[in-house]
Amino acid sequence: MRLLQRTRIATRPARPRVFVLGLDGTPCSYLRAETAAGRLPNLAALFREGGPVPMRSSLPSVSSTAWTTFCTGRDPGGHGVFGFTDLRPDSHDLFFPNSGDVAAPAIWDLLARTGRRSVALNIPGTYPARPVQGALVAGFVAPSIERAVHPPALLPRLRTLGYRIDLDTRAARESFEWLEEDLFATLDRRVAALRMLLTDVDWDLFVAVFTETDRLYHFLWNAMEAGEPRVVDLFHRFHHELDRLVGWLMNALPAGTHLVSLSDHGFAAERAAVYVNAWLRERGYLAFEVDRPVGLSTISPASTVFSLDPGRLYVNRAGRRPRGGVGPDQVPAVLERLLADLADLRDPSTGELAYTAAVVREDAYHGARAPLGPDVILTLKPGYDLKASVKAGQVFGQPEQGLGGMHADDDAYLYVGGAAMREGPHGLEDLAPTIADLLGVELDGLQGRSVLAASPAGTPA
Amino acid sequence: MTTVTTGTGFVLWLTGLEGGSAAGLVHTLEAGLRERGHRVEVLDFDEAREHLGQGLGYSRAERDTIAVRMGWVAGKLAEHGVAVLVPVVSSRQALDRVRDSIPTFVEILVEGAAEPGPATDVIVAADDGGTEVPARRVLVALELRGLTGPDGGDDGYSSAEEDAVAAHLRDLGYLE
Repeated sequence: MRLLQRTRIATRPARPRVFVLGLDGTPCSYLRAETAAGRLPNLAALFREGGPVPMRSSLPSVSSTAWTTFCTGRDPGGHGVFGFTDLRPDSHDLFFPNSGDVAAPAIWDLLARTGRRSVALNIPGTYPARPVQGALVAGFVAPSIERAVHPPALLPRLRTLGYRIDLDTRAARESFEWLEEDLFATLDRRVAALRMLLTDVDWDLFVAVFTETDRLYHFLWNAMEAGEPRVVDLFHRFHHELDRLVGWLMNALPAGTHLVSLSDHGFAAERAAVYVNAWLRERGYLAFEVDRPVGLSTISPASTVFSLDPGRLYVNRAGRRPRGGVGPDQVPAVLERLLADLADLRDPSTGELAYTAAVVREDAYHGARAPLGPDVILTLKPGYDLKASVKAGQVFGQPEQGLGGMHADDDAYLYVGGAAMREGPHGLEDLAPTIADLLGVELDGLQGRSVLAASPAGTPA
Repeated sequence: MTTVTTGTGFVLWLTGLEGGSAAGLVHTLEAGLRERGHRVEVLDFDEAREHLGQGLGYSRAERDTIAVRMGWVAGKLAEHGVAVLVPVVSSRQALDRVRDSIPTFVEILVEGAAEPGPATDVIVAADDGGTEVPARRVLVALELRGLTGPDGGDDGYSSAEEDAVAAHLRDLGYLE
């Protein structure tokens, strides 16, 4: 008798993948309000299983620092990017940190060692593009697309798509019509690039960041909050396009993909510009050797404290820079006086403090680069944008023409699909460990902590 | 789960070298990397020919085949945290193929003679293919990339790029 042998065919589970959708600057509170109002149906459907939850940004909450914190799983003390600007070693001259100044490997570098491939599209602070196992298209500030792309073979294909790294911010600031047209055109081409990379590159991790949101908010958040009809309409139409993208992604992503979405900071209406260096001059901390300084390079060695954007306060240490004047034994007294005086940095019209908290370096930064960070950092209070211009004579001024929005430190959002999240608070440095957790990889040397309540039991359908 | 440490390996691909003139530069880089605590492997072309190129001759295409195979080995070693030095003469096509397969690939294009001794007299091209920098900065460039440690150097934007960056940041209100 012939026995029929039944063979059980075990279906191989889809390999876990992670797709991260970044919306630069989109506040958790705004996203919740818009989904609750029924204007973003795909995001609302996504969030039905949980989220979005609020997340704190980096200190400071500028995009280059925030996204580098996301990429490296370390705070600025670990990766070394403390802002869009920093001082050159041994001088008071400004320079602009770029990807070459990041002192920690990105998550895609670590994943490559496990044989995993990554795509990074438009992440701020990744210019010039470094080699990656997969593909990388750098985000702003990227002066040349030729140095923004790896592998180089991608460049002609992006050109064919009409890909652009950013809006023409100057024109957008001056003309509503230009901003409107540029926003949708840039988004359209970014989505086209996303579609191309999604199918043409084999990936385990795909990070796509949309920075058009940040641009819209910088220029028009005030007007949106004030209810200006054409601006409110633009906000609705633009976010509707993003919601359509989410709907498409929900169907297009391969089985086994965890969809993660986040912003790097929140946004708020700007009521006043606060010139911290003007306040330091008033209080006798800061002086210059010229009557009309244009930068810190003419700082007097008698100065004890200076500021960089936004709200970064540095003791002007002797020995670190030629014009530094504060000896090591004097530093504690300078800091003590500064922290006491900061209680007086208040809006004269309301008596309100112009920042939320003054955080000392030891509490803010951890890692080998921490000693290079500010001694004190002021966290942002919605409404008061902290500036470092040394040209301003007054401490409080009007917001700059054409700029109605400012970053908020604590209203970023986070959503993780297909896995339960532990209790917060959550921070951007927690994302790299979370991605590793979702992929089933353990990475050493990260400062953050996975936000998952437990390792995912399986992969999402 | 796979456990990964952050001691990253990488591949230094030295091109443009002829014969023994590579020895000094390779030796200097090798010693410098060992001083920094790296595990280092130097892949020699003639040795590779013996093990990876049996049956292959000396045409350009055949040399390229060996170079690409060396690249595969170098990439595997780098994945396991080894700093791999590969002095080899290969075509641009072969080099590009290797570059695209290794995330931590650094091309060092040596122009002129590289005599034994301090590697300060040669010119190298950074791995983005654009900027030429002195060889003594190779290790600094690696450090900036977070591959060998936190002590970085100067790898900033060009002055024209800095102007563009400043203008962009001004438009967004970050700078005046």
